[in-house]
Amino acid sequence: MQNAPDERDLVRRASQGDEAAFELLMRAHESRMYAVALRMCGSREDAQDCLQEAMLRIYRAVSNFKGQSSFATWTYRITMNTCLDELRRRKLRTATSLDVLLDTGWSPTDEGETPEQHSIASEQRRMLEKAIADLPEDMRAAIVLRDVQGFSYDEIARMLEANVGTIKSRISRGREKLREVLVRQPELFGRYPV
Amino acid sequence: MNEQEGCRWFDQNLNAYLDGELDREARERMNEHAASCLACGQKLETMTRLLTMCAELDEGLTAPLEAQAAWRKAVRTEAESRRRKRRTGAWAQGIGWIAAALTILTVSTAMFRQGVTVPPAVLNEYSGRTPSGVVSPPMDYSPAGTGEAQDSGKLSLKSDGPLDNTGVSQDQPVADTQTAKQSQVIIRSASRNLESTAYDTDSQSIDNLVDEYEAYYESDSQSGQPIQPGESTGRQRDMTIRVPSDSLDEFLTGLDVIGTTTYKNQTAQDVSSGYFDANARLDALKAQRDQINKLISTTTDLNGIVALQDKFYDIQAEIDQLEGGIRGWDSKADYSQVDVHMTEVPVRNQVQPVGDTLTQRIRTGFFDSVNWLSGFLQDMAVVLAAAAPVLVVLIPLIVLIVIIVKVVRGRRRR
Repeated sequence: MQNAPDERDLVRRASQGDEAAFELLMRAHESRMYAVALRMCGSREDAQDCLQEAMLRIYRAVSNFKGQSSFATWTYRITMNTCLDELRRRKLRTATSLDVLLDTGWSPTDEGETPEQHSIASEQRRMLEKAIADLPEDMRAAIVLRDVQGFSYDEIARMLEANVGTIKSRISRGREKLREVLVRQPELFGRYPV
Repeated sequence: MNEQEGCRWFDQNLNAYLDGELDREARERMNEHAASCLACGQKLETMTRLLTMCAELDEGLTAPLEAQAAWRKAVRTEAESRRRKRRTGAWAQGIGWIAAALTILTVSTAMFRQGVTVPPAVLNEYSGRTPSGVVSPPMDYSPAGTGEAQDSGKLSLKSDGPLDNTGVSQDQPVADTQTAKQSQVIIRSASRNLESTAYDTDSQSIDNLVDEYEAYYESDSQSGQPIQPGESTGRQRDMTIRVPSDSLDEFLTGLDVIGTTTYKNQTAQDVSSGYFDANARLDALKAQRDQINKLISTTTDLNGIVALQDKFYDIQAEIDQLEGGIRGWDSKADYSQVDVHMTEVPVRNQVQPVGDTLTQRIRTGFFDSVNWLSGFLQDMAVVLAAAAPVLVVLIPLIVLIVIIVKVVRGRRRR
């Protein structure tokens, strides 16, 4: 995979210690990195910590980036590893930290929704977030990268340093688990507008 | 395919269908089965909705401003830390180079002061350059009474041989005046006053010391009676001891532990100038004498012969006088004179030893160090100045090599 010329130039300058070039380079990825961290860690504070730690690791290692994969793939691999390290270290109980998500009030609004529909949509989202957070780490990582962030199987395999078959298996099992959780809430799931 | 097999096939291909990996035929088959099987149809619907919800989950989600600010600040701190480390590294490298240069300079100066063989550039600093390239010891003896014995300028003057009938003196190989001219002639002497509470023992100790260092008594006299109770002094002994100059310091060290020293003194008289002048005068007189000898042998005029002989004897007398003086200097230079006066005293009247107090010792040590450092720095300046022509070429060369190495490394890294 080839990097865009301007990205190549930014990577070169960042590897020489140019922090301004590094900030410019990472601006395109920081929101997705934060989203991945949020889904993996389950809380806003932990996601911020993971984002900062991931950025530092990338800054320190950027001079070692050889271009064998895309810069994005390499970046998200570091991000995912940072999140997994953090999870292992803190042994987060993601279920309880969902309250924090609720408190942040993160709830995208659809202009065409009625207040009742918005409330249902928020509740459905909350259930989905909890279900994702309850998945085992390996399935959660695969589901977040594939179904939430939309990376390809090849990219996910490189990010998680596993083969494509293993990734497909994790995603298949993860989807099944999510479906089972959601189906158990027919009053919410059944009201989802077709 | 029966219904069960159809459902199994449906389950196996559901994820591929959702990921868009099935071909058109398989997709149509999946749709047909979903339409015909309620359970599979619901499963397809729920999975489709699940994936839709997942895809919309983080739409519009951006990192909070505080998170953005936090990682940027962390990266800038890291960058600044790296720059500081590089600066410190550069400083450390610079200090390392300076330390290395100072070490080389100090070692060179120390070797120079030790009189080790040094490059000709350094030898030119000294007017007394020797052909072998070995630097002569510096001729600045400080007669402080504590200095080391210099080369005593020992000469092996032999008496002149008798005149033979050719008029040429059969001089034995005489002193190497060239060697003499390169050395100093220092006559050292010392005085000690001792008090002893064990007169016989201390006397014997002095005798043993004289034997040990192959010295001899030039004079030795004793007076008085053994001390009686109530008396302040008893026997006294006055000695003039001639000690080989090379062993003078050790002899005095041994003497200082006998009895109690109440007075000590040391002198060093530099008679080099007079000594060398005398030798030069001696050479001239000998040459003159030899010339007169030749004239006597060739002259037939009786009156002339008489006059020449008178002159010859005058010169010879002067030669004898000079040689006597030179021998005296040699004797004094070879054997230093130590005057010792020992007095027997009772135990309770023992005088406090003369010696340096702690304050004096500290002061002496301090000023000795200052003088030593001053001399060392001066010698260092000499070495630096002498090495300057070499450094002017060497330093730019080293800098060039370092630059080339850095450039090559930088290119390899890129």
